[in-house]
Amino acid sequence: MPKRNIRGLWAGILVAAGAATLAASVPQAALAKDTVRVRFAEYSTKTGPFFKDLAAQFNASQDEIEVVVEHLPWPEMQQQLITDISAGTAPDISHMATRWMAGFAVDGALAPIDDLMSEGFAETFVPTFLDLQKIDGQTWGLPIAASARGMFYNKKLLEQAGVDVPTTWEETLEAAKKISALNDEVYGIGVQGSGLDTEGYWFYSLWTHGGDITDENGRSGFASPAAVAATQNYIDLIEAGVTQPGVLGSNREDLQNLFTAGKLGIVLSGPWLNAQLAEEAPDLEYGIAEIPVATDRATYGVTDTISILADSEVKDSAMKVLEFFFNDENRLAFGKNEGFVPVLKSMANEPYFTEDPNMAVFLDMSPVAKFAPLVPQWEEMAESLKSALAKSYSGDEDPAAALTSAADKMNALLDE
Amino acid sequence: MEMTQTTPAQASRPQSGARIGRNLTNLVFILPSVLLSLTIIGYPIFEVMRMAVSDVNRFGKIRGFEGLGNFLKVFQDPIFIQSSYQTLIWTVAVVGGTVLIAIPVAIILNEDFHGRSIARTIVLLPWAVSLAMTALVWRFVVNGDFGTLNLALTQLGLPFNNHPWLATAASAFTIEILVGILVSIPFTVTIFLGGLTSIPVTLYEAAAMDGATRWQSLTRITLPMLRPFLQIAIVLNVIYVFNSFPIIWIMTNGGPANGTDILITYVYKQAFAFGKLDVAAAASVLMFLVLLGFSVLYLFMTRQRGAAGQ
Amino acid sequence: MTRKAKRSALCWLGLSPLLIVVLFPYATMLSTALKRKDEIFQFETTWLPDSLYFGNFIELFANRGFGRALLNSLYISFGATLVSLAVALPAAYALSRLRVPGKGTFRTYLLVTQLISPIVLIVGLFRLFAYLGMINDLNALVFAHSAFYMAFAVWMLQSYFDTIPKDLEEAAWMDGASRLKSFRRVFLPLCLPGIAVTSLFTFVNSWNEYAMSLTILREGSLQTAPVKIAFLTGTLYETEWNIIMAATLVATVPVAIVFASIQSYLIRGLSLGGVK
Repeated sequence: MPKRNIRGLWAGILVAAGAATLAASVPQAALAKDTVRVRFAEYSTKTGPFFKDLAAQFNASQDEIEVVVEHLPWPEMQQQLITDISAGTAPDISHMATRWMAGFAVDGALAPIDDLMSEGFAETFVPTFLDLQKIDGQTWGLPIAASARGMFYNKKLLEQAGVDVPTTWEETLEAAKKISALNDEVYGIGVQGSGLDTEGYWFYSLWTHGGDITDENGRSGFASPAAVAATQNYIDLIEAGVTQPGVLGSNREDLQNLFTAGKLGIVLSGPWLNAQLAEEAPDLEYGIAEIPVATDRATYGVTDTISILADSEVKDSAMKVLEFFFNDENRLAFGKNEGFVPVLKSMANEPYFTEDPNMAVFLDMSPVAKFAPLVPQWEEMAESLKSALAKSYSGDEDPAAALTSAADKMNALLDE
Repeated sequence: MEMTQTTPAQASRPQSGARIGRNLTNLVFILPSVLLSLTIIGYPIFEVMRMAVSDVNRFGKIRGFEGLGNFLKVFQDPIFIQSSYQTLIWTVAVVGGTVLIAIPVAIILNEDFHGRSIARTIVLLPWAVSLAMTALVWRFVVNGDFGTLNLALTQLGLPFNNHPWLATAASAFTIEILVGILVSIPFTVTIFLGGLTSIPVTLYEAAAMDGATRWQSLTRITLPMLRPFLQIAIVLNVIYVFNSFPIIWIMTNGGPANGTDILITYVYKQAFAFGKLDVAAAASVLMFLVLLGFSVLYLFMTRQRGAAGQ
Repeated sequence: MTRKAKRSALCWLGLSPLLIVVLFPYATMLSTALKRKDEIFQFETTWLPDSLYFGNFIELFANRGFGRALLNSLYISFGATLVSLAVALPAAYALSRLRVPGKGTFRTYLLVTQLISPIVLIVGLFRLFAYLGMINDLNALVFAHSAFYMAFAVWMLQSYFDTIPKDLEEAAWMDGASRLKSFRRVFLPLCLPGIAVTSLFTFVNSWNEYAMSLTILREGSLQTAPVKIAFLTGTLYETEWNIIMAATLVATVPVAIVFASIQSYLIRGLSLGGVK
């Protein structure tokens, strides 16, 4: 308290209004309840209200813990969290992309939750997804969302072009050619060249060509022969003129919008696109199949994480809140709301996921899902990969050369 | 005190003492402004300087002294070099374009014509929206398939149906520069209008009496009289444009292949995406030095030229 | 009269390319803001919505708290304008009229405060306000904005003050008025137009500022208009263009009104130099 008073004094001298607001912002000390601040990023406009509602339920159910929910848009999440942690104003629980988690954990911002979880809680998860939250044997968070990716196709366009749903990349090229030939306004297949998840779009091709992000020695796999073939696969599509125009200017959303408008025959995307299509193009007839194969079946599994922060003074209460959010009923409601694949074992047999063909395909592919590695410098590696891909797609650089420089960069970062 | 003054020599001493005293009390006038900015800007600048020479984790916690190591890392990064070059193009193109357009626009808006205040309000409009929103709206406008730019061009019979404007670095950078010019015009035009209205009408009347043509009074009176305002506009625009973040960040994120990255987007990526606050701080210090060097040099040169011209 | 008409036509013709480019995004905003969400990404793009739809505007104010955000922005912008004027007026007066030790240093200092982008300083700024207990406090933004925009206000005001003839004040002193009194009675009224223009600059800059407001104001009910727009639309998978465009259109209105109403001041204010 005296420390606060000195601060208040200083604030008062420096900025007149400071002291008054400080006094107003000091929480009443008499409260015995633990306050748990939880921060979410929004997947859709439903996310914020959903968690506010859950928090209200939780607060009404007991009187030891008070949950306060904050929500932020994704694009600002990373910067805000870093700023908050640096100033000691971070929430107790925060949502984040799993790929940021490694860096946050290494720099001591997160609390391992192995000893906080109640007995048996960890066993309720699908093991693959919980394992992804572990580094060096410790669990740094819970998989709040999981998605796999599939191939969305426009039934009407495929029918008009007279092609079957392609299962290999060769068939995909042929199908895309025929669809593109239908009309100037229609494109065979979408290839993503910019923005968030550009590297993910390339992983689909990488993994189905038998490549991987790291090789057996833990070095970069960006420039392996399979990786070059995977890149050439997209270059072939681009050079055949069967993609949307301007691949390098198209981000994930642009492709989704093209598909929604019925201008794209095929796009690789995740289950959230179902929600957009239901809302904006209820008449569009589409199906979802597995990602085309060259040598291997594969899909990109992505999770987001929710973690307890190292600076939290109420870690036990925070864990109780998380366990409430992750009970069977609440998870099922969340999954249905946002269209993500189940992370709890109990959900896997729900008719919602197994009977709807547009959801079931993601579940079917779960066993062949691959994931991005959990390394602290992943964002920087992905950035140099994106750059190499852009140079390859545009034809400015030979794919093998461009990928080699991205692989060198990745290896250098791994050695840091 | 005046009573005791007997000789001029004696008189000057106490008087100058009083003057120094009064000059010191005059500091009261500038003190509030110094205090306000020193408190709010001083500390963060100090933080940046400190991080630039330290080994820092991604949350700004200092792990040790790094000396010039961070600066070395910055200079060894080819993307920093590329971004520096692109920053030069960005700044020169946006500021140059802005000034070239703003001068005639300000001259026209200074004329007396029907609907002048409507025209002025429209010219100022881009200033009424934050850069982030402007950039977002323009990203929609130039969208290949759904954007209104291609819609309008196609309706005019031009072959831009589904043209992907942001798909190459050259085309995306050009669009970003044009948007940069558009949002800088209101500020610059306002400064020039201020300059134009400060030119006494009598000068033009005298010139007209001497039989000067409109062109002559433009080149002999208007433009020379605008010079100090031009100088302010250039210095301030260079500072603002050099540090301008939202347009590029929102429209292309620095892509494709870092082709539209400038130093400020480079710094942002280093700090908040890659978790390298120390490298980001070192790059920021370099940016600061470049701008400081520019401002001092430019102001010095123009002052010299101004002095030589008089 | 016909001469003026001819001149007007020429002026409008000369301005037309710029005016079209300025108004084009507004046409886009209006067109998109009046569409339903499912009309935006259709096979055929059109300017006109199927029917005039005002739901986006209603949504903005009824469900997304945009009205509150506009009020927050107004509070901060007015506050920042007042505070920066309060510190810039005496400083500019001193630079223009008084002998102050270290004038040159002060000028250089002002320039230095402008050379670093707030984005670079965000971490330090946030730590400072966290230390002062001013996170989630609108006044934090008032002070932050006035600190950043004050330098420009000092420059502007000083250049106006320099154009006001000194003899006027000196005459007032002769009449026995104190320095402060002559400042208030003679000097201040003369430079009111200049103050108006300076206020406009500060107000607009503060109204549009994004990075600092985003970082310091965390609570939804405290956000400013530009931040709110980013928050309204920043879901992971989709941008709600219909809402963005409606919000941007609405956020333009207050500033456009300020522009239009300050027009006469702007001309008089800027023509003050002519008094010389």
